Amino acid sequence: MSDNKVSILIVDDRSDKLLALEPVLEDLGQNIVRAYSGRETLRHVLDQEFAVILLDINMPGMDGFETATMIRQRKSSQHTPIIFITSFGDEMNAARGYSLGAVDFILTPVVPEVLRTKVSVFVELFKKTEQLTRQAQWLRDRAAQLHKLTSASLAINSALSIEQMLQVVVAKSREVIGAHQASLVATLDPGHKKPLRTASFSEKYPEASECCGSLLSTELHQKIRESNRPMRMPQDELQRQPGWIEPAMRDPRHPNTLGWLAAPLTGRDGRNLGLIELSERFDGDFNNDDEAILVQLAQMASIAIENCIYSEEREANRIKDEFLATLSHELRTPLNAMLGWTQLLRMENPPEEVAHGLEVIERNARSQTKLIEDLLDVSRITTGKLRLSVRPTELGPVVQAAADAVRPLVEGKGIQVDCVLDAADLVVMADPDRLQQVFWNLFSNAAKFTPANGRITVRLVRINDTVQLTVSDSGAGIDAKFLPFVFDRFRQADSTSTRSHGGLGIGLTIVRYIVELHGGTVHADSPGAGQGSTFSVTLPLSHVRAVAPDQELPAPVLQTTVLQTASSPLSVRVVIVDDDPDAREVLGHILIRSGATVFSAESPTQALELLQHHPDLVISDIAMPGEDGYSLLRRLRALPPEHGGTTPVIALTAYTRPEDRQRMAAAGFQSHLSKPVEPAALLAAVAGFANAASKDQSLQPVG
Amino acid sequence: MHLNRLAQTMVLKDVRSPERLLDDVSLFLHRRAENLTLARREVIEQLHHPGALLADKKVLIIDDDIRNIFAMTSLMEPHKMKILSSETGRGAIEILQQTSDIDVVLMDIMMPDMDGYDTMRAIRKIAKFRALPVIALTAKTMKGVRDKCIDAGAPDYISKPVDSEQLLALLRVWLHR
Repeated sequence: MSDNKVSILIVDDRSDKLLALEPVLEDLGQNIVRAYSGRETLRHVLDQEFAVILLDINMPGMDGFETATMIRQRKSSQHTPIIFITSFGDEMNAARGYSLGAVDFILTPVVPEVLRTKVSVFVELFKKTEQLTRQAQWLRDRAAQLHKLTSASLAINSALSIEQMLQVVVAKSREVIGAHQASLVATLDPGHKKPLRTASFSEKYPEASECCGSLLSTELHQKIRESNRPMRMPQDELQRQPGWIEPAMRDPRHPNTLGWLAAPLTGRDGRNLGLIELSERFDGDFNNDDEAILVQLAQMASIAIENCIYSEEREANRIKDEFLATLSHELRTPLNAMLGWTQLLRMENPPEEVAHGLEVIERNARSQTKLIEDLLDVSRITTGKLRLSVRPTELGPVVQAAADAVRPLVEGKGIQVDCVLDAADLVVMADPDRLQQVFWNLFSNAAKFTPANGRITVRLVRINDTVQLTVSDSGAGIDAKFLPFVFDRFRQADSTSTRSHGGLGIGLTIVRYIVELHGGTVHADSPGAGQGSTFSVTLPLSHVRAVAPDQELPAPVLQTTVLQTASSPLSVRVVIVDDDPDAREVLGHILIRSGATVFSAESPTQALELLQHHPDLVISDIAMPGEDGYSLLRRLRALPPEHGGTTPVIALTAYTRPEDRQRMAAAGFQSHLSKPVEPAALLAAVAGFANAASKDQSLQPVG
Repeated sequence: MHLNRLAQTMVLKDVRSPERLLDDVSLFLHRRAENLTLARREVIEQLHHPGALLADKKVLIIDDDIRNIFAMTSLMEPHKMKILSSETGRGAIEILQQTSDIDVVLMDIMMPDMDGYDTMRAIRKIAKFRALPVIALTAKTMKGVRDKCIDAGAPDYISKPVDSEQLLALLRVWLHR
């Protein structure tokens, strides 16, 4: 290869001597450069590097020694081997030559073999040295690139937004590899967002940074994005690619490409997120090392992009959750007052017409509560946040509780219900509250769609290792076309039907989701419109045997409450704290009717003042303007016992998420009740503390 | 005694600018530094002359004697300077026309055919080189050289044989501007 040829300089003032040397050296296959004087030698040495210099000593003007001295003084030719050519027996010259750094002497007339051998040694040495120098340089370049990669990775990680991060990536890729042009395109969310584009250009293109265009046509981009592999090609190959756009056709501000290297951005799941491309390397074509580095940078960028997306998603979810919690709170608060008052008024034995009106109001308020809960459930389902607290659960009582809850509706329409509970004592691993919700939904759906005096059949049977609940009705049935979508969110058979039956069409979605969370399946079947329908739930049986009879089953969630006037009046002093006057009033009425002494406060500060009345119990709202229930609890607990510091505090709140309950328990509330509060639950809770209080009092000396 | 003599030298010199003064002081320091060990000298050199000033600067040397070109090249190359050279005035102008980014010119005065003064005048006639720093290289004892140099367009000069430290110091002064 001509590239590997090295140069040999031969110097003699006599051309006949040079002509004698040249054929001998030609066999070595290297470049031979001739010089006829010391000055000419210097010119050549300034001009290029030599593997070896053969230097005649006796030259007019500037002799070989002076020439050698100057060559030695220059750093870059300091170590160039110099072989002096001298006549036989000149020892004085030899000594001086060596002192000037000569590596060898050759005596004239030259012996071709000796000359060739000596020179070839230096040629080889020079080649080896050059190779080592190149390798050392390569290693230095690599080390520098690694250093830049590290700093690039730091810069990528410290970017504050996804746009800024992409700018850092594209600029660092260009800098680390050393190119004039770089561009990046990232599609974060296919079909939803516009792809993000950014570009970086060296100072060679001060105008170009304004236009953030891709370097190439979309066809090559498509290739990379489909294969998810890096590509590189020199300019001539690039121009032969299909879809190559002549520079004249492009944005005139955009620089012309000169060679091309690109690497895909790839997500964890292998999905393509975009690509980085470079053009116009500072020198030469893009090589293997450049490609490896770009792939590495692309990898860093991909991870950073995904991290950005996920953190944005997490933030969006958190905001949505907060919003839903607030929404639910705001929707429940007025219901609290409505339910409380209707129940209170019904206790007064009103005339029949009024009693009916109150019942309707109460029923509607309850179904409103139910809708809010369903909506929250759907939101939990879509975010995958619906959690089950699973334990061995006997099915019979759960079915029974659900059936009880729909009894008023069923009885009101004169529907006949047949219950065949063969498998009532079977046990499944389930969340009983959630399961009851499933059954309640199916029952109330059946009741809703069954005409007056219709019939509903409920069966609970064991099929191998599963248990199946079927609910059949003689109702409206389901059109075969709609059957596949019956469990889909917000789908209802048609709008007219929706009008006559109400509801959001989310009940069955919740049913399916909860059943599937339990490892079961749901199925809907109907012979057709007008011919009734059958819904079945199949759940895997638990290997745990039936629950021990004395083990406490969770209390049914929905209680049909007919409030009894407490048989023994509550002799208890209660401070109620709520910023909402309606809430205070209804709560106060329920308690006063039961014989309690009630002090009302609209703020924590007021409540603390009321402690001078030595209440047995404080019932406090959580969310209040200015100062909340948590703050009240902290301030109260900071008081000495004689000033009421140990008074039990019950939280009463419309914040009912599991994390809210955890927070209340952790804060030290003795108990919590959710809004809208059930008078029975409220009185039960208050009675519990009243008993404890009276016991305490009986133990303490009076005074 | 020694100091006294040096002081006189300093006063006698035509101090044309604070830089030149500073430079001479540093030269004085360097002369002393030559007696120090190599390692120490390197420390002092780095201290006084951050390499960045000379690195990557392009110099054109014009001298009819290749040995001078070679010697000055040998001196400047270790400072990472880029060196172009010509053995004739005409060759130099050709190089200047072809190379846009030459930072400073070192010009031998005594040259056959077209001498340094002629070359300088020719250079100054070209509009884009009107402000190009040119340092003249003159024989030591020539009288009235300074004025002739200024007339011809070289703002500064250095006597031959060239003192390497002085040459580098001069280059720093002119490349700093």
